[in-house]
Amino acid sequence: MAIQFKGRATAAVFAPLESSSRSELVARRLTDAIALGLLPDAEQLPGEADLAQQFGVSTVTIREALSVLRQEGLIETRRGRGGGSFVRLPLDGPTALARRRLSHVSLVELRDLGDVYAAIAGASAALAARRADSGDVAQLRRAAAQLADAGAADARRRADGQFHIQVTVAAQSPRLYQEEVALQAEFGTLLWVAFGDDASHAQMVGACTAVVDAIEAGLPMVARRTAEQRVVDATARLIDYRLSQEL
Amino acid sequence: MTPDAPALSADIRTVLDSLAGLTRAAFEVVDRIASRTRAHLEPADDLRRATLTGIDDLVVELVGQPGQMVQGAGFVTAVGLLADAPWWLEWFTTGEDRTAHRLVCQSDPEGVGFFDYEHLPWYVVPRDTGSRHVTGPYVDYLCTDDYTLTFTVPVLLGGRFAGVAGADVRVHTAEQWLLPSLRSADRRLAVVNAFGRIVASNSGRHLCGELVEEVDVPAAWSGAGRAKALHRLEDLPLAVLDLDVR
Repeated sequence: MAIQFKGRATAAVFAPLESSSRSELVARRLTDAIALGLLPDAEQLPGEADLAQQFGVSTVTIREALSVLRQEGLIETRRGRGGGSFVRLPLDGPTALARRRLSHVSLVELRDLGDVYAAIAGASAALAARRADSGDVAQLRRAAAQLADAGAADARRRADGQFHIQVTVAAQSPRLYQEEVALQAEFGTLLWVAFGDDASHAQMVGACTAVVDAIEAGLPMVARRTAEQRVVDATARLIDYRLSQEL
Repeated sequence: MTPDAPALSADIRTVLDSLAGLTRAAFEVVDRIASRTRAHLEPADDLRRATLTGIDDLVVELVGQPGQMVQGAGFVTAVGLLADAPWWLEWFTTGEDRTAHRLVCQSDPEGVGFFDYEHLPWYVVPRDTGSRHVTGPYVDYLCTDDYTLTFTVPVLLGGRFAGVAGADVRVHTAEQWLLPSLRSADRRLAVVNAFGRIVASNSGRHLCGELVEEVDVPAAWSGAGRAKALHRLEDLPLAVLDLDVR
């Protein structure tokens, strides 16, 4: 029976599930993890069988994904005793990877990513202001303090990511948590190209503190506005950076 | 539950029984893991990761049982218990297919993504009170990535805290378990935790994960305010809240 499509959204429902290759998805996830610093330089990846089990794909798919990473110079595979696949960070660290990706993203795409991230961050903060209990607020304060204390750019990035994850946890929403994690990988890595210095760090600490204050006071509208504004400001900073660079 | 409540309505009794059945099933799994863990730790002079070998067989068997409501379970060591792994989780989770997978965590405090459980309630409360505890509902972003209830008991070794045995139940599963009794009730009832966070209810105005607004549950918990509306379950931080008591 022919299905009548009432537009792209309906068509997407019936799009083939394997439309984007699974090995590409695995390669993308691992690349993001390297860019985020979750897989540090020289870290040994689990064996092919373990990776296949964890991703829920075949070992053939894993082998394809690893060969993509190898071609991009992001992993090195050694044979024999003590062998395996090892992460190889580009010389100037994760930032180089993110900068390379940034050069392929248009300004309109950045704006659109910023819009989605603002929506997720705003909704999470507003729900957290309605639903956080005293334990959630304590965890948020701890995360904000860790961000304030972080010195190196890398530590700051991780603490910032952790803080925003805690907001979705306080919102009591697994879906918002998953969206936050996915956006941190896709957009957060790009944002961090333009962040990490002391001035932007101080601004970020101030913004996070304002979000926790609104959550603790139980003010959903204030929490939403504050969280959205943080993303709007960060996106503007990234776009200014992108405009100033010969990428 | 409370002796001065003369006639506990049948509705509330039924929901309390259903809730008791859920927690009993979860703590049965937890208690078996706790006793197997003690049996492994007690005779050992030198506590290392290898000392825990054998606990995994039991946990894999327990979480893999068909019809089992537990989604993950295991033993989490007290910080510093094992000589070769100061932080360690012997934890297994199942997916849709019910096969158990070991939870792989970053247990090196210097490592990226280190799993620091020393501040989390499912660890802290049994350690500090010496009693069993139910944590949640909460977004368990460290293990199940799902909305979860975690049941934990302290494991003591010669009177000293050696860690917690525990089990996770998805809120989805708990809801399926609790809904028949809630739906058959003639009044609006909610299963809540001690913060007043709703686990399940029979009202569209009282959604899972939200904090009850009309009753100050933490106050009622300590006997103040609308304490009569709250029917606590045993020693646990769970209760049935009667939303129609004015």
